[in-house]
Amino acid sequence: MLDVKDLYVRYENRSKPAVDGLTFHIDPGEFVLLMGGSASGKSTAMQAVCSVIPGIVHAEKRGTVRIDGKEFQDAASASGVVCMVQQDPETQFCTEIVEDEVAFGPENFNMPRGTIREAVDTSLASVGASHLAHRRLSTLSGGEKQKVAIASMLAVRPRLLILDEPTSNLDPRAVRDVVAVVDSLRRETKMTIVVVEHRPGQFIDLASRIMMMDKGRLEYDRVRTEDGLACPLGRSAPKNREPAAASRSVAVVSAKELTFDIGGARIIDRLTFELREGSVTALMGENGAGKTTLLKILTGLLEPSSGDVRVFRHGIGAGARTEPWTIGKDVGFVFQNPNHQIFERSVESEILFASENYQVDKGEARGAVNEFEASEEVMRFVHPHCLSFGQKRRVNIRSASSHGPRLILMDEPFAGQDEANAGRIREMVAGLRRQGKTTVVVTHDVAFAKDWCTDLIFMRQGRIARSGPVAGLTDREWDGLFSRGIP
Amino acid sequence: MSAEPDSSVRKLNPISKAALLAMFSVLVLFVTDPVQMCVIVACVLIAKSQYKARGIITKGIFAFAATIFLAQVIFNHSGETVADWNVFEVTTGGIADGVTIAGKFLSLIMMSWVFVATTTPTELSSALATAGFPYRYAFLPALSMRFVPVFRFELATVRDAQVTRGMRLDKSLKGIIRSARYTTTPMLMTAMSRVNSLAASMEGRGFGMSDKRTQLKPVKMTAFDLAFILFSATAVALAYFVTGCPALKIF
Repeated sequence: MLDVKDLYVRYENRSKPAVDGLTFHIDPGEFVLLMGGSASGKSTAMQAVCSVIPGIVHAEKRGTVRIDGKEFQDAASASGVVCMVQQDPETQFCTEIVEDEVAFGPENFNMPRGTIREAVDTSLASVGASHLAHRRLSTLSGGEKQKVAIASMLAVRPRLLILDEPTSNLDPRAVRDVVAVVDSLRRETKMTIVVVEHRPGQFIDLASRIMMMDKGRLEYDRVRTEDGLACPLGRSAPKNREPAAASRSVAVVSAKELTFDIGGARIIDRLTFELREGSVTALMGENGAGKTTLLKILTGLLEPSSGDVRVFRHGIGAGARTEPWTIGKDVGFVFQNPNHQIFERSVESEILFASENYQVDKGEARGAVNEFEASEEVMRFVHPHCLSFGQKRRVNIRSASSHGPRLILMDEPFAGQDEANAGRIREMVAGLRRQGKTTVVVTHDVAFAKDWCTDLIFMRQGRIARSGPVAGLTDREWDGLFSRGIP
Repeated sequence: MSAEPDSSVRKLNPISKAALLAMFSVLVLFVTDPVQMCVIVACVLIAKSQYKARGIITKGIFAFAATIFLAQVIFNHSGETVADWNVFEVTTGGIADGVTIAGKFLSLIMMSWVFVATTTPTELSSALATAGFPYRYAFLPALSMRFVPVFRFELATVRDAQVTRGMRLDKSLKGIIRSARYTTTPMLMTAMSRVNSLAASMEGRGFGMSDKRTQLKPVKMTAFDLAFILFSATAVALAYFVTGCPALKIF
């Protein structure tokens, strides 16, 4: 089915290759779980398999990639044979309505209308999304978007389907949905499937083979036997060496009957809660539960419709709005996408950015620059956009926390991070706590919330479904958080 | 942004609506009579009132039209004097030109708004492709409009990130230049990554592979569309002759 021989890919302006001498063979009907850390070359290798490299992403490519014995020169000519669902479905949609998006591929293949209609209906049915056919893509949840992205690729009937980190931005319930879809494809279509992931997750139970890459090379390759499938990585993250105890100090944030409406829709519904000084709060809930909106209210970026919020000395209730610029001195905010919050031309000036703007003592920020140089082995004058995804994220955290804020808000800092990078972020969160700072982390990672956080706020449809110290929660209650919605 | 599906204007082929917009624009450019212009503006505002627009945009458009009108009243001294306060002289010519020029601006912008509100980018692309326009180019409006809300959202996020890192967004020239400097890089980086992902997704599904492309839902010209275009063209031609072609004098 797929033969890759001596594949070498080096991006422009990079001295080291991203993929170096990769050779492997995949048989028809195999389900391969391709794992590896950030920058291990797994996504690059799959882009080369789809001929996205070098046609769309410019890079030097050598070696051969054959699918069913054929070599393809560009992504369009390979399109009927291999398709790749990318990490963020939002970036690959080119229409507005679900069925138009699914029909896009068959339309390009100049299929008769009846065949296109059949392909659309079959593809949507195979991912359990027939009911979404007439919906606008912008109104779908994260899990629904991922299903539509998979259906849009299935509609061109590829022989090889590649899914690049299909669950990285999803909540646990949506992850379960997507895994179920992939499982049914595997069982019913016998299609050859490659799933690219950082962690084995739930795909390990479906995979017939595990491959693992490191530094552009294939380091591990095992096929499932009667004894099972040995995986070099554990399923869950390592536990905290110094578990966080519940914090009972003074409240630094208090919200009472906090409500936020927009366009007639209620996003936040009468929230009442407190955040204690020095606590690490896991803010959890399904995609669209109102978590990011809550963080924006706490920074003054959004004005609540009603209710009162006090963040340190700042009143943010309706009619008592404090400017976000003022609140920003005390509250650091790490946004979801690292690229949205890198403004300067060097790592040093990026980390000093907020301190310069607030004209505060730069001692802590300079310390953060030194720490970054030492821990990442990256010079301070390097442009932040030249860093890896994980390094950018850590620059974001340092940049948002080194001008002296006492409360740090992080919006899904683990999304798209491999285990090594996630571990570094966990250590940074623990470090902030040791400094006495209060932290709120939006996350879907239950293991992180259990082992590294002191408190939990679980939201559902704008309301708090569960809140309180993490220590009080039993394993059964944790398991029930996402499965039952309101535990 | 789009009107409800049962709107009769919405059912028209986008090419018919584009043709009407073009003919209407020609008609508006010919009108020099302030009374005729007031009638046209009133009709356009009634048409526009059927479709919601963001308040800030509507206010901005009206503010700009008012500025045009006032500039004519203050600086255009043709015709008879209506009022004279030393340096400030108001004339009939100034008022008439103010009404017609501001009216042209308002009616063109508002009619364009009605076109946008009643036509989805996908419909426009489909109509162009069905009419024989090369599909690679016909798809451009749909693609570009698809990303308008995405980039608007990303711009807002970048601005939010700037504010939370202590950057004041003041409206002085220096502030605007500083804001532009710190906005360009993140926006460019996200746009470039989106372009690559989208190109991979489109080509990965065979876009551009063949010269022809089937459309699941072709948007064809109907007899009603043709009648509508004919009627509009006749109405514009009649109006052109009824007004006595005064605009020709400017050439």
